[in-house]
Amino acid sequence: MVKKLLIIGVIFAMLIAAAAYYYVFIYSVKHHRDVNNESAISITSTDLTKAFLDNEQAANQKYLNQAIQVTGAVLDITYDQSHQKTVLIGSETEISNVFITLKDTSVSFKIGDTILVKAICNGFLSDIVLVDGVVKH
Amino acid sequence: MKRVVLSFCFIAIGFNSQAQQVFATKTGQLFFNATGGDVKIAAVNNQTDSKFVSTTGQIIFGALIKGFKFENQLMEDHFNENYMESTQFPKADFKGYITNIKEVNFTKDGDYAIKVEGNLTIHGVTNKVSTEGVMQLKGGKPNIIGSFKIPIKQYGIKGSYIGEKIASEATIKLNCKY
Repeated sequence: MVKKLLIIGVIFAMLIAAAAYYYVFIYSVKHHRDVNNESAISITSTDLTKAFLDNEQAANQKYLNQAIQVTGAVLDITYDQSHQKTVLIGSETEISNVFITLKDTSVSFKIGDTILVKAICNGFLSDIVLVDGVVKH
Repeated sequence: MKRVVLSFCFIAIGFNSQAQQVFATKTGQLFFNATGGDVKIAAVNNQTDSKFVSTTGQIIFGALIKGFKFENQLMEDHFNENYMESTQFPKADFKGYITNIKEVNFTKDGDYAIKVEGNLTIHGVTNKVSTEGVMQLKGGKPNIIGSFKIPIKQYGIKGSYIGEKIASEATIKLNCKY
């Protein structure tokens, strides 16, 4: 009886270890956060910029690490050093705008277009920086 | 009269070659590596903001902590929540000078060894740092490449695995094309 319990215990421990290994080293590598699966805060690029310029700490509490659906005019389109497409949206008259690195480039757009992008807010440098952006239209 | 005009032209060219330029990028790269054991603990930040002034050598870098992307999402979450506390301290920055900027000839392409000194703020803690790097000039456009080590605990970062699975000194590599 004791032997049986010992064997069941060892098997159980091995299963837990295997599940933990799978979650940490396999599942977590293959599954990254996907903004498409999250509900987002809708805001214009002008209002988002104003929020960070007015009070960065308060804006961080509200928007940092959140999924945001931001609308604005395209000011610039570039590629970063990892060849990911980036877009700057906002207004040419503003000192700061919204800088987004895109993960999905299936929707085409050009400078001057008004676009809606769903992305994750990383914070504020010289612009408000968003990542993993998906252009909705 | 001719001599005077020629002299004036040379002086004007001389002034022009030393004209102040501000170089900037929003997409510089920072590579972070704190591997202390068998498991790779490494990330890249592709949205590093940087500017420098060609005449004074004044240079600044800014990076958002949440901008560091790991291959492993769980590792990225732990990095942000348990170690860097990125909600409380969302950014890191460096403010300093390229102390030998006068040795860089911005009108001539090539590789120039540079020395950088300044204040690095991570996790709300500021320390003086100095390091060396290379400024590559190609078509007049600079690319700064460098590497330095950060003693993690000097920046008030705490965690049970530091010094074991996580190296006590993280290596930061920089590659910024302006």
